[in-house]
Amino acid sequence: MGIMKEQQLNPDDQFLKSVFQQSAILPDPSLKEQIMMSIETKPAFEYEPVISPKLWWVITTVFMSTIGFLLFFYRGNSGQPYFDLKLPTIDFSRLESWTNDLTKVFEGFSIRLPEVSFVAVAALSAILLVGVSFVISYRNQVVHSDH
Amino acid sequence: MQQHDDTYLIEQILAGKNRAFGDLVDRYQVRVYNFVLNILRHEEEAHEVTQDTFLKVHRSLSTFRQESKLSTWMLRIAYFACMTRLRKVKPELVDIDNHSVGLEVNNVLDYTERGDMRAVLGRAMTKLSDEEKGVVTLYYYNEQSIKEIVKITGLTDSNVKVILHRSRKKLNKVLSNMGITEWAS
Repeated sequence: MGIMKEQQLNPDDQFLKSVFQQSAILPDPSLKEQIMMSIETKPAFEYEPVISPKLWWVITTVFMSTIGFLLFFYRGNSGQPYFDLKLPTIDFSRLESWTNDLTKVFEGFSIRLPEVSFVAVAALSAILLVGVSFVISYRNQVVHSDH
Repeated sequence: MQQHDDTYLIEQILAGKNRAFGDLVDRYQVRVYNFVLNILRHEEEAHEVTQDTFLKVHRSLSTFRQESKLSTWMLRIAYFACMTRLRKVKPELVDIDNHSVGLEVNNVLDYTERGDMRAVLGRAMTKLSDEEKGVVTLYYYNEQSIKEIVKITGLTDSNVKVILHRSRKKLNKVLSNMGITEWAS
């Protein structure tokens, strides 16, 4: 209720103010009742997910790390991990001769694709699918809660 | 003092005391209702929008950061609820304005003598745009400062001043055409 008290109104403003003030009416008496009813019929408490988004991140990270360890590093009876990755090797000896064509540098670059079993591919696909869908649903939750 | 009371009410409401919200409704319903009514010019719609406004206030009270007055925040919610409603159903909102259709120059005195100020104001307000209705009501009825009107409507300071100036001229013109230059209160 600031401005009207803070400054002297000119006659036009005083006139218009009195028009507005005196034309005010009371709302229907049921208004408050309806508002209070709507509030009181709301559930006493809202359900919250048992596992919070933060905990979901932790669970997902631990799960993915375990699966990653099992696939890439764990050596079972066979003595071989599921994915026997050979890191690419680069033949740097070529660099010694600066006169060689730059493209020849990569002649020594080689990647050995691992032999992947069907189970491993299926497991990885499932993990990716669950992970992506979780991230999408989590992002949607964040967007909705912002509004 | 009012702001202090509002802060106490907000604390009570957030603590889950519905009775405190009832006190808040008591305190603001007339101001919010008449603000909405002056924009929508339709009593049933104003009733609904006022109800929706209070429900939204109840839902969002935990997000109210008290950077402005509670009344300013509530009027902002009401203002945007009105604008949304007008976009949806504007052609049907003719209720109050129809009441003032018969208000011709030669019977103005009868109306004013009977104290039917609402009808006179309704007639004058038909000359204003929705935005102008909102701004003049906030200024003259809700007694909001220019700064507060800026917060409520999202318009710029100079825009509010221009709208007020323009609306004042329009209203005075209509009212003087009707032979009304002062109220016998």
